[in-house]
Amino acid sequence: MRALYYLLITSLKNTIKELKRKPLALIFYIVIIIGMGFLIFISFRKPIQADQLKGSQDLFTAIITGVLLLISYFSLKNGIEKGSSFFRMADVNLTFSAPISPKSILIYGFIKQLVTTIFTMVFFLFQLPSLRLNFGISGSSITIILISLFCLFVILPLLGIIIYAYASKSRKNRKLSKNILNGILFLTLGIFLYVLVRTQNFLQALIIFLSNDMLNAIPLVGWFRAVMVQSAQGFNSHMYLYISLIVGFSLLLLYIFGRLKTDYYEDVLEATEYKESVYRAKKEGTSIEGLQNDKLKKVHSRYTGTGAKAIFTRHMTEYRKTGYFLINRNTIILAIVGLASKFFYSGGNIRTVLYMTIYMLFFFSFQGKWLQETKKPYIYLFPSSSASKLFYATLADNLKNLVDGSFIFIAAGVVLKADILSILLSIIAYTSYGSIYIYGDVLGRRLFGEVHNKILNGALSILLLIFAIAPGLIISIIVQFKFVQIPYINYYSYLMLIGWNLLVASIILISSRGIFKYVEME
Amino acid sequence: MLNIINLTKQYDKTLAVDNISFEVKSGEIAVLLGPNGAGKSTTIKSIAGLLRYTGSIEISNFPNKSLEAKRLFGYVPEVPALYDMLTVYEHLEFIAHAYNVSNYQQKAEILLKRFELDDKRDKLGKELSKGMQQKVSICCALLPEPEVILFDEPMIGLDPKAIKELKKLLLELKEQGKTVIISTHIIDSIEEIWDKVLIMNNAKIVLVKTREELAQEAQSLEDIFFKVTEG
Repeated sequence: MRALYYLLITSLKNTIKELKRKPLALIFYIVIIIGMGFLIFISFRKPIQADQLKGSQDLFTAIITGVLLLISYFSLKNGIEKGSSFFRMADVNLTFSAPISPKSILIYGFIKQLVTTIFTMVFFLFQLPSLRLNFGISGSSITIILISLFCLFVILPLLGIIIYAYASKSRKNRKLSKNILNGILFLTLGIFLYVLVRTQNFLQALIIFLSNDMLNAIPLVGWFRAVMVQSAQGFNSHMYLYISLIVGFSLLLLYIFGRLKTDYYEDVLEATEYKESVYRAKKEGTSIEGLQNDKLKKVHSRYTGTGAKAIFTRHMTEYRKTGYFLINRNTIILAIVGLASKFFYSGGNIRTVLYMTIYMLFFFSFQGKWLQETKKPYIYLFPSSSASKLFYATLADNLKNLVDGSFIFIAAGVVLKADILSILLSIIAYTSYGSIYIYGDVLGRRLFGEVHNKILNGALSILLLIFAIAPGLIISIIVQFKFVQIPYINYYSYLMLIGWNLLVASIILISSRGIFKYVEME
Repeated sequence: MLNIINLTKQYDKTLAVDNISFEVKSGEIAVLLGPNGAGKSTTIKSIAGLLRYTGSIEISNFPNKSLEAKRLFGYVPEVPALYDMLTVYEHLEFIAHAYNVSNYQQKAEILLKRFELDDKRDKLGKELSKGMQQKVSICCALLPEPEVILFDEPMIGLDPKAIKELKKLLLELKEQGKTVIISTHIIDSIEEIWDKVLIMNNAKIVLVKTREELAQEAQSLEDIFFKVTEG
């Protein structure tokens, strides 16, 4: 145990020392801490008047339930498919083979998990002022909510390992576990759809469904929900009952874990290898698409040309393997979130969907083929001109944005009853944003390629992108609201937005056509 | 033929390659030998045109970043870089189209058989072991039949049979008059095949010798390596 204690302390010390060598990261953390402290200070300093509260108790309950259900669903899904792992590959290689008892190593893993959990909690801390201002939640309630979340984050990985130990025993077990989880998911969605049909209002249906007290009956998640929701209303005997249930269930899990298999190394090995691949992909800025064990369709490559065009054909082959003519999981996610955004803003229309999807597209663009291509040596080696490499390596991403845009805005247009011109302009505007994200990255590489500090390089590239996008967006919004009396002003503002984006993207594309003569592989 | 004059590569404050010059002729196997961190991989990556540098690198008298030069050289990276969603055969198909290789099917079959990959042709890049990925990487570099081939630690991850086959192939390439440059830190792996050794240490080339010169001095490669790298 002394060796593990040494490992924990030394790792912590070295992390702090590392911050001294990376002042930008240190500044980032300091800004986060000051910002969080300021937000919490402001929100708790100001007394909350009951008449100022914007959110209802039901909305509060619905938010808590929604967050808990999502966290639990993905944690259990991960448990069935890959298991959870508290460990890194260095732990597996160095401690699992050392003469240290597996139980001590497990405690060490738990402690590491707790540290990670504390960092995850920071995200939730940022939501505190919002909870306080909108729902009037007291300081003691917030403390209970945070402690509950912390406990849930600790218990779920343990449950994940137990489920994985069962599911990994045979194909039949895995299928059964998957079917049970999918069954629960479809049942949940079915009940929600029933409520939606009855209310005919998405947001109202969501609140009614998620604030139903029957959900307290769900083991673990429901009990945590009950404790968190009850904490906002005051302590009562029910709360103690649910806390007892959680404690009892956690002890039961520990007991099962202890009895289930003393040799858990094999169970965590695969999960740790997967986790390590995800970390590596994250570090290298590559997509984790290839790491997922989703089945790829068997398709034949259709090469119609040689040289740089082969890059485009390969991209299209890859897209055909993971989706249907460029429409894949990301398209569906963008469409759902885009459409859902309409319900969260009063007066939301197809433009609301556009703004939400271009915001999301910014993050999705990091998974684009262009970025993946630049991480491998081939594109730098091929005997094709730099301009043709740049054109063909970005063509599939541009086409995908066009297809995604068409899918999203035709669906949004039908649901929101938008006119055809607005749908068409939204598709083009969405695609033009996609282009500006792609070529913004190209320009970033050209301008800041020699900056080897990843944080600084990333920050500079994002700033550059903001400068590239902002004028078009500002002009378009000003025109739309300032000249509201002009007929068809809505369409003109769209055209200005598109015109600016296409102008900027074209300038970057033309000025960066020789990029492969100057950039270096990361 | 490969000609390097005054090559220097600097990463921020670190001087990775310090003003090196050397030449490798056609039909010659040159070995870039050196301890970890000596600058071997940076040199190979600079020759492959993956990095910015100062100095001059010419491949068969063409600047290394020109299209003419790119048509003439192949590169096997230190870490195999395969596409997760492409099968083994699709990698070769892709390279064949990118380099406009005529009659590639036949050439691909020969390479797949030679490296015992013919039964793995439908396996995805992500499904292969590291050694298998390295074999695919070598096949991709050799498919366009380059005049100059750059190998960065090519033996790592390969099984004994594949190492034997690769050594045989390197000698065949030499007989065909190709220029081969291999970067490695494992002396034993290239003992039988090298013609010229370039020993690097602390970003500089500290020794250049041909096999004949070393034989005349009655010294082994290992002896001379430790002598020049450890003083």
